[in-house]
Order: sequence, then structure tokens, then C-alpha cells
Amino acid sequence: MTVALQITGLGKSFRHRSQDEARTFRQWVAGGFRKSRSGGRFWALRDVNFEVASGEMVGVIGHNGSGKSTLLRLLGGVMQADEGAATAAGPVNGLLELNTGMHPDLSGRENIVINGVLAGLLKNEIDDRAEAIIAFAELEEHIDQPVRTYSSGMKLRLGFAIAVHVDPTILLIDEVLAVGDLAFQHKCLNRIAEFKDNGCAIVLISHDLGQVRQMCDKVIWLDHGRVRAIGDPETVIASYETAMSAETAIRTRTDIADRVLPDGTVLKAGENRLGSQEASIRSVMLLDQTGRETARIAPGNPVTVRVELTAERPLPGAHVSVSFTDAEGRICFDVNTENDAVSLPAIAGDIAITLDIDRLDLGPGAYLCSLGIWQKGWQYAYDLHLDAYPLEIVGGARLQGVLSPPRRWRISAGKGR
Amino acid sequence: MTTGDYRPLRHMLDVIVVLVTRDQKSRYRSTAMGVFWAIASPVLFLLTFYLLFKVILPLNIPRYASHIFIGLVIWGWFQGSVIDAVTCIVGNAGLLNQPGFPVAALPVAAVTSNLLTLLLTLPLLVVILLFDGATIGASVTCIPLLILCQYVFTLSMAYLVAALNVVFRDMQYIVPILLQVGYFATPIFYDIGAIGGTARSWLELNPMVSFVGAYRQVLIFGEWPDWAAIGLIMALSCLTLLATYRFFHGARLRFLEEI
Repeated sequence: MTVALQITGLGKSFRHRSQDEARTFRQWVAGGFRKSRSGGRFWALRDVNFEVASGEMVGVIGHNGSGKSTLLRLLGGVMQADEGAATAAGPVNGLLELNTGMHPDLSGRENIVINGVLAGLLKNEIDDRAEAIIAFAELEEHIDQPVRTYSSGMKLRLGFAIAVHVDPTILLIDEVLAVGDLAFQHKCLNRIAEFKDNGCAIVLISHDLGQVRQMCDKVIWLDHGRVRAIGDPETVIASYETAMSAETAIRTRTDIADRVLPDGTVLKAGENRLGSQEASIRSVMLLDQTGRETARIAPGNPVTVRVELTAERPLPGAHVSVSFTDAEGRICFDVNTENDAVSLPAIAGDIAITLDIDRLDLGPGAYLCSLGIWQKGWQYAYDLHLDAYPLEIVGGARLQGVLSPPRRWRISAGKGR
Repeated sequence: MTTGDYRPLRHMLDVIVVLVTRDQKSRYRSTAMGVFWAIASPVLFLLTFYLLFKVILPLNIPRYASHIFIGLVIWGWFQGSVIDAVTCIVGNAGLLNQPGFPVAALPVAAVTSNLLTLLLTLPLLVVILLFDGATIGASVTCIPLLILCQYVFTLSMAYLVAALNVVFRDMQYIVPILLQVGYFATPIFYDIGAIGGTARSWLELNPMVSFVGAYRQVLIFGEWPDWAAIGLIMALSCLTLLATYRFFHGARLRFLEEI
């Protein structure tokens, strides 16, 4: 295997901006033409060593601010390293911000040419690929309309379609694989896998650990600019997840009063209630289809989870998770706002979040609902209520299975031989 | 890739073409009047100045309509380019993240796009020249050369302000003020001949004075421009361009840190 990207002793430092630093010409003149460099430097990334072979996909995981984006910029050659070097064996392409060059007043077709050239293609190369791009984006009918008439999903599809028609040999991907509906996402992932099979070296930044686990051959865990672990996905992701739950444990405030829930369950900080309490869950209600609070529903019936949250200061980019666990502790249902591509407004003050589940097809039995509100990068929980809200699915005995969707049995005469 | 060593250069050219096309198309597509906006502004100023200095306070400049119009569109190219160049880096942060994106293309696109806007006003300029009875002679063949000189000069300023604005974010407020000063320090509605002595020598340090003068000599009077002045400006512009491009290029990798 040939090495496509060689990273040796890579380091990048940034200046802390000091208060008195001239950011404007006026301040510079007023300060006697001195550009103050007094602010110290901090290392956003240091001592990073790894290599990516052709046909290999490397995942980079870590908290926000761990240096992932800086690493990608250094690999892309758009920023200069202060130490070490990142050497690429060929041209580097990026799947970064998808719609940067697009102009809303121009048609999809015109934007294909613009974005394609800005992504690194020559004009004649795009002319050859335009039809393939349109087909990939599934925008045949709208391609001559101005992009401002597109839905956000259509825009992303177009952006992605252009970006994946560049024939990369080295590709950098930053969190853009959750584009459009599931079918389109599947198509995108297939396309990436195709690149990989054709010998493209890929570096992927993602918060979606499942995706990293599934797609990458090697994972690098960055922590405050240093490589905390590097190796096979299973091992690295497992230790990352352990560290993340430890982070919640460290930040959990235990000096808050116990809360007795209506059914008698006691929420006790440090036991079944974790989190930093920067945002807190004030109440959780499970509602049946008539909107009444309930603790019992029939299989296949709708159920609504309503959470009231409160935060003292604005918390942008938070995530909410909802899960159901059965009596044996198995997680039977687990969803969150990020995975469902729902972005919450910056939580400030009181806010109510409602999850309507059209049909909860769980088998009869007792379940416990857990609710969490998480920090932007899933680094730790603001407030996490574990197995605190009971829900019973009624109707018959509990058997081995988890699911109990609506069903019919039919008995009729056999065809015979 | 197949095209070998020329690919980065071809790509840069394509990037410039695409950026200019995007700018031009979006500028004229979103408005009902379309391309007429390109000439509406100079025409409006032409009428104002004509009324002021031909009718109300006559300056007695021959072929005054042509005189002003040349001044307006030539200065307009310079001013539009520099204004666009100031924000071209800060306004395109997303592109700076793109591996392999030729950042140096952004100021070039700003200058080129505004040159196109100038070219759109040419038919009207011809009409005004004919109306004024201007003498057009063989010297008109040197117009492309004048445009080239001004292009080099404008581009050198574009690189300078583009890079400076990343460091000092108030450049985008300072530059329009400086341009306002430049507007009056350039004989757009008046004639440099009306000013004498040291004041004139100072004014002539402004290269735009020579450019506007040269275009007028060629287009209105059919004379050849002052080659010594144009040659000197061209030489100095080339040197300045080299310096400001190097400044821009050196600052290029710091842009993302500063934005």
C-alpha cells in the first residue's frame, strides 16, 4: 500500500488575543503603530503522527475544540503548520462546507459550474459531469430554477453531488455525511465507499461514532490538541465512550435536592440523575393520543414525550435524547435530536420539547424512559434522568421479543402437493 | 490528473472566470432593470455634473459631456474594484477552507468584474463622443494598452487592501473614505489644466490623474497619450504589484486564523 498522507510531528499554535491588541487600523495608530504580540500562544494541535494509505479511511473523533478542524485545515494545506509537516502524495480535495460558492439567484445548473470549479475541477471537466451530478442530486426537474427556490435539503443534495464528482485521490470530510433523507444518505455513503475502493485516502471528522465505527479502518482520538489514542475503531471508540461518561460523572452536581416524581420514583443526583445542571429538566410527561398524561398504553399506540427544560444562560447546539429500557435493562428504543437532524435553538430560559412517536411497537411489559439533555459535542450531559419515567405496555403476557407490531394471523387451506 | 503542470494555472483562470460570471450574473439578474444599472449610475452623475458645471456654473471645458463621462467610468472601474477587493477575503471565508483554492484569484476577480462593468458602458461612451463631435484617430488603438496599465495598477491596490482588511478590520470603512478623497483629487468633473503651481504637482502624483488624462487625450482629441508618464506609471505599478502580491501571498496562510 502506498502512503497518501504522511503526518509527522504536526503542530499548530494560535495566539491568545490579548485585550489591548490592535484589531483595527484606528487602534493600531492610537497605540503608536505597534502590533502587540504580547498574547501568549497555545497549541491547538501538537505531536500528531500518523499516515493514511491509499484506500484507507481514517476517522478523527474528539470533543469540540480538540483540534479536529485545525488538523483538517493543515491536511488541506490552507493553514501553515508551526511544527512538523503534513505531506500529501497528490492533490487534496475537501468535502467541507457544501454550499459556500453558491449564489441563490442563479440556477442549479449555473451553480454546478461555479461550485465545481471552486471545488477544484476545470470548467470542461464539469461540463462533462453536469448530467451525472444532476442525476445524483435527483434534481432533474428543478435544475434550471434559481437555487433560492430550493429547499435546504435540495441545496445540500446539490452541494454534495458536486463535491463527490471530483475524483479525489485524497479526500477530507467534515461532518457532511448526514445529508438529506435516508435514501440519499445511503447513496452518499456508497459513493464514499466507492472512492475508497478506488484507492482514495480519506480522513473523516465525525461526531457520529456509529458511522466512524462502521466506515473507518483506523481512528484517531484527539483531546485538547493531542492524540489520546490511535488504532482500530472498536478499541479507540470504546475508550472514548468510557471517557465521555466519566466526563459526565465528573461534572455531575450532587448538591441538588432529590426530586420525588408523581409515581413515587425519587430522582437522586449522582445516582439516577447525572449532569452539570447548566440546563435542567423540569418535568417529563408521557401523553397518550388524547393528550392525557399516561403510564399505560396498548402496543402500537402513539405516545408523546413532553419535556420542559430550563437553562440559566443560552446553550447553543444542545441535544436531547429519549430512550426506553425494558425490565432486563435492554435499550429497546433510543433516539436523539442530532440523529434525527433536528437542531434545537440555543436553549435559554424555559423551553418545551415534544417528541411524538406515531406508534410505539414494543411488546407488552414494563419499560422505563430515560431523558437527557446533552452538551453540543456530546461531551457530557447537562441533565440526564436515567430510567426514571415508567411506561407500561398493556395487553397480554410478556414474551421473549422486544417488538409487538400490529398483526393478523390467517389460517386457510394449504395448496397441497 | 492528466493536464500536467498547467493544471493549477488553468484552474486559477477557471476560478476567475467563474467568480466574475457569478458576480456579473447575480448583479444584473436580481434587478428588473438588469444591465441598465451598470450605466444608470454614471449617467445620473453625468447629468448632475453637466447641469452644475455646464449650465449653472460653467467651467468652460470643451466637449464637457465626454470629459465627465470618461472621468466617471474610468474612476468607477478603479473605485468599484478596490471596494470589492477590501471584503473579498473576509466575505469568502468558506472558500479559504477549500483545499487547493487559489486565494489570489479573489482580488483578480474583483478587478476583472469591474472592468466588465466598464466595458458595458462603452456603447454609451461612443454615443456621447459622437454627439460631442470628438476626434477619433489612430491613437484609439492604444486604449487596450491603457486598460492594461490601469489593470496592473488597480490590481496592485486590490491585493494591498484585501490583505490589509484581514489584519485591520476597519479597512472596509477607511478605504471608502480614502476613495472619496481620491475622487476629488482626480479631475473627474474639473480639468487639471485649471489648477496651477505646486497644487498641480501634488495632484499629479495620483496615477489616476494620468490615466484619466490619457483616455481623454485619446478619445476626445485623437492625440497620443503622454508616453513618458504612462510608461513610468506602468513600471511603478508592476513593482507595486509585485510587492503587494508578495505581501498578500505571505499573509495568505494567516487569513483563516485572523477571520
